[in-house]
Amino acid sequence: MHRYIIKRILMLIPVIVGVSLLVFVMMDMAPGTVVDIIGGEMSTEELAELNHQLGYDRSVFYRYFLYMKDLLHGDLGTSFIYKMDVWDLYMQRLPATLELAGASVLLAILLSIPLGIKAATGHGGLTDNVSMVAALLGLSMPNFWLGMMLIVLFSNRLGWLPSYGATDGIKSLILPALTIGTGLMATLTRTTRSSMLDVLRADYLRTARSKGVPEKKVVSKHALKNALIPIITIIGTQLGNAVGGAVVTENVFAWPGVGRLIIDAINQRDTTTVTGCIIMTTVMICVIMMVVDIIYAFVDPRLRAQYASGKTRKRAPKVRGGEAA
Amino acid sequence: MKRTLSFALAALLAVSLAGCGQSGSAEPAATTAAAAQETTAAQEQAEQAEPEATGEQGYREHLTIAFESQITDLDPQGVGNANEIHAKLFNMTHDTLFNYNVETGEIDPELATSWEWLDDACTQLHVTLRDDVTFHNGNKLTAEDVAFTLDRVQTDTQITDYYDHCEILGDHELTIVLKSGNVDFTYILSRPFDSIVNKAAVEADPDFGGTIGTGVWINNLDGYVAGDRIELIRNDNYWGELPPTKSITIVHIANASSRLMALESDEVQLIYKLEPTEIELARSNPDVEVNEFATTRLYYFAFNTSAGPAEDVNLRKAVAYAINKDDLIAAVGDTGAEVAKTFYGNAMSYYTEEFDEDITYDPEKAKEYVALCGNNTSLKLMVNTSDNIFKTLSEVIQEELRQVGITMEIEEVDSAGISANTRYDTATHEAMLYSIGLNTWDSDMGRLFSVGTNSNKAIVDDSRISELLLEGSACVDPAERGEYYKEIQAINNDQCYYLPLYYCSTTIAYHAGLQGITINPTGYFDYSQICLPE
Repeated sequence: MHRYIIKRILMLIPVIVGVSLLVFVMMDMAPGTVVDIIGGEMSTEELAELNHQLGYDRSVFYRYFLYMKDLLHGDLGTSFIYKMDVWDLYMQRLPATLELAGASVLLAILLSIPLGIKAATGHGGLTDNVSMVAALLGLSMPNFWLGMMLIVLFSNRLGWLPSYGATDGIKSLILPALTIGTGLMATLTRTTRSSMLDVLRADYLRTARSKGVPEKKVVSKHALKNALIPIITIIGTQLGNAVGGAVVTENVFAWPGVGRLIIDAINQRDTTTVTGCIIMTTVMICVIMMVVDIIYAFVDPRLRAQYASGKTRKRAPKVRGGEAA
Repeated sequence: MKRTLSFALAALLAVSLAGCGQSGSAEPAATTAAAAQETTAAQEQAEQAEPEATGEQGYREHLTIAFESQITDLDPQGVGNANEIHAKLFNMTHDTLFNYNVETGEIDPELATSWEWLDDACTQLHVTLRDDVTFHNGNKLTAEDVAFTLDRVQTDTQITDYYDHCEILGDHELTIVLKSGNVDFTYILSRPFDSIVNKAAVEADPDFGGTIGTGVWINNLDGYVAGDRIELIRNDNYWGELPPTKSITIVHIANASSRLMALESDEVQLIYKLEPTEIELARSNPDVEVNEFATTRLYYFAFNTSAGPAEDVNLRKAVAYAINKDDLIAAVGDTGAEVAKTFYGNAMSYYTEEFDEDITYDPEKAKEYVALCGNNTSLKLMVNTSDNIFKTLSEVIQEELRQVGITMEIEEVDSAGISANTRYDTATHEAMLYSIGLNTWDSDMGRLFSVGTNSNKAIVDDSRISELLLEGSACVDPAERGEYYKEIQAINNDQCYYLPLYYCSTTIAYHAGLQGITINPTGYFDYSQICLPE
């Protein structure tokens, strides 16, 4: 297992190099630079001087080389727009992002898994049909619309919850988490249901039932454990997405998350901030995916044995409705 | 007439909203063009000394203001800060030497108690400072801080084109020496971006030292999330009038509907800029007050006059006659907008509407000019996608030009793209739609015609205009100055470098009863005295 973790950490290096290079080149291809944003009404000479100061008179690869040199020393650079270290900027926004990602995924887990199980065990019944219609609704509702409706109801009409920001503790978190969580819940409910349906039809469960194992135990101990791999994969992917920032929801609720920071930085051609934040997000997602893989090992002893033998490439967990980790 | 009425209403609004502090703030003192200006404000300063202790009873201690754009920097001289949003913050946290009085249009004292031009050419400005001002870090304001601040301005052409150096004559006395005369220099120094910072603080901490000012409000850096929020704490050692409010949070809520809903649920008490579709909705709420007012922001059409099809003045004139400005205003739904009849600041002293006939909508005349263009009848218009208004305007203009036989292609780019493509030395655009917030002093027009600057979007290199701008800024005789600026407007109307479209209006909405806002048509609002009676 240790070898596996070290291997995954080492794999981060080419990923970071690739991602940062891609961001640098793409930002360079976009029209304009940060100099055009902060240059305002400067004269041609002043613009040329600023271009020189910020290195925009050199090639993108030269600037990338300098950036990577600093990165090796743990320096994510300084934002030209915010005049702050990108690390500090990122750390200002990370707590709010993690809170929102964690809360929305937790909400989805707590509601979707029991609902998906119930829908699968009562396949074709009322609960199944109602939960599937609800899931379809959850998937269909755009986040900006749902967010607005929640604000109108809970902030404007009832006055129970704040409509923006992240300064009111858990009260601030409820509406944005519910907005993101609704979409996640829909996906997770459907995945749980279909995964459980596959397992519930398996021969070994029929055997367990015929041996007199109570249905409750069949579902909770035997079926759920075997249905968990795709569910964990979906949760990991969703958490990874959420850590990268939920731009639309952050915009509606003025949530000070990483997503909004990255979008604002892109609009302002703040390459240093964009690259730094995306590198940090990449690291976060890689860590989440590694944790997901470790959880696989706890859930499935076959995978644990594979990790131990170092033959991880042969592992290919069966996934329905989501991408493999 | 309508313009005068609009600004009078804005001034009235300013008066009506400025109610929670003590009355009797500094009175107008200086005249625009007088070579010798001297104002003593000692008496008024004495009147302003202490807040009424009882005044704090019955006012909300904390208020929240929501902006549509982000605060990215707390330093008035930070590069790239010169916009309306940052101006509002710097008005609260810092002080300038002079204060532009929106009611009178004159310059009032602020950190300077008196000033005087030492020569007729307006190149040496003698300034005496208040001696009772301390920065937020406890340091006393001295002439060295003023000199340091002006030396620090590196990227603002309005300063760097004129400012040479300062001669310090004492702790509170100095002479500002200019490279060439500018009678408007006191006005320029009243802008929030030229607020005075503490030399010692900046030298000790170049990153955040500039956040320390002498203003009513202190930046609380612990409550600063860059681009999201800043918390301000009242400066109880302020030299002037104190508001009863103790703290303010400025937040960035980008979504217009979210801003309005936050106001309606009383989570914020003031928001800036409402969508036209939401104005009526806001007005229907008895707890919310909405004010729509005229601004000096001019929407305009600029041709690249240095290269491409718009080098041909006939094409430029054809476009000028083909555009119906009333249609444009109707299309964007700006009910408070005013048609621009000349390319000039509508709040500037020498604004004149007598060129009205030169640029009136006349499709037949447009067709006559199109006929003179030969095959040169197509144009590419660059439009900024970051503001939906430009998109709407471009679509209306495209149709109007089609009707007179001009084919116009719309090219959409974002703010950085448009700025990159319209740089003076490397401009690639053929024409563009843009807007500019014009200040109230006449030499400000230099921004649009100054050769080699990024704000010269028509890439104009007109030696006569350059000459007139230089002469106008140094001329102390009002009548003579007027002639210079009138000629600039005449040249532009004749050459159609820029086509003025309209001056937009804007809206603020706030909790009913909110007081202490000074509305400025340039957008540099002053919220320093903001307060809300319980």
